[in-house]
Amino acid sequence: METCIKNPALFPILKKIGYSEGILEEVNSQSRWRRVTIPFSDPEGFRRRASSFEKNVLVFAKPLNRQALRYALSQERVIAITIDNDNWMLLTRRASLNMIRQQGKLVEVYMSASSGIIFKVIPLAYKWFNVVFSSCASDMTQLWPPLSKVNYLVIHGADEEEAIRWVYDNPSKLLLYASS
Amino acid sequence: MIIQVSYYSMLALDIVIIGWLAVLTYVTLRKNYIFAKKVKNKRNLKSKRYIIFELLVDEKDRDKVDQNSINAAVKGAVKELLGKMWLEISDPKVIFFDKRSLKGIISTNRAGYKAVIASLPFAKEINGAKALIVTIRTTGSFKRAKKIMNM
Repeated sequence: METCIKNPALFPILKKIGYSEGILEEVNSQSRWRRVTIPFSDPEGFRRRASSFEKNVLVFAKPLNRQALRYALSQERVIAITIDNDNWMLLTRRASLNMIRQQGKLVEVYMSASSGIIFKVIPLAYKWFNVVFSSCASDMTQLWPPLSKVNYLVIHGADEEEAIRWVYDNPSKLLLYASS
Repeated sequence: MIIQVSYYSMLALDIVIIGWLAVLTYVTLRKNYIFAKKVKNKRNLKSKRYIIFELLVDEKDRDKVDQNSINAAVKGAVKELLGKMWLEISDPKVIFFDKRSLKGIISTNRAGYKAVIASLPFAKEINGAKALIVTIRTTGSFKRAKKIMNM
C-alpha cells in the first residue's frame, strides 16, 4: 500500500507498479482512504483544523517544533507524525523519541526527503518507532515502486528484512491503527 | 653431571611439547576448528544479473522512447543517485527493449543490481517524455529473463 498520493489519477498506475491500494491526500474525494497532513507549530490551530475533518479522514501531523510534537503525540486523532526536510530535527532528542515510542505512533518519512535524513531515520526506526515511507506523488514520475523503495532503503544502510517490513507491512499497520 | 641431565631432560620436554603442538595444529586444521573467513564469492560479484522492467509512459509519447534513450536515462539515474563510481561498478546496459509491450531487460552485475533498482525512479524523463521505470523481476540468466518476458 502506498501511504500518500496527491492525485487520484495515479490510482491505476499504483496497481501497475505493485501496490494494491493508496491513501489519497485530498479530503473531499470519494476515495476509500483519505488523509490530510497538517503542518503546524501552534497546537490551538491544529485542534481547530483537525476537528473540522470527518472521522474517516486520516490525520497526519507535521509538527514544526517540540511543543507541537508533544501535542500531536497526545492526540488520538493523529495517526502518524510526518517528517521531512523541514522538521527532521525533532528526532534528534532522546526525550522526543521516548515520547513517540510510548505513544506508539508511526513516523512517516517522505521519499523526497534528502538522503541524509533517510540515513538518519533508518537506525532510529530499529529502536524507537515504526516507520512508513511515502512517495506523496502528484505526478507519475514522482512515484516510487515498492521494489525500488526497498532497494533505496537498503543502499542507505537498512537490512533487507527491515526494509521489506517498512515498505510492505507497516502501511497495513497504519490502517489497523486507524481503524482501532 | 647434574647440569647435563637437566639439559637433556629439558630438551626432551621441549621435543614432546613441540610434537604435541604439532599434533594439535594438525588436528585443528584438519577438522576445520579454525573458522577463517574464506572469500569464496569474490567472483560471484561479477556474475550477471538481469533486471526485467516495464516502462510507464504516456500513450502520446510512446514513439519517443527507444533502447538507446532508456539506456542513457538509466545510466543518468544511477549517476545522479550514487555517482560515477557506482555507475562504473554496476555498469547497467539496456540489452533489450520491446516497443510494443514497453518491457525490457537491463544487464548489470551482482555487486550493483540493488543500486540500479534503487536508481530507476530517478529516470523521470526519457527523450523528453515523462516516464517511470518499474522493476518487475531480477534473474541470473538471460534465458530465464527472456522466458519471463514471454519471448
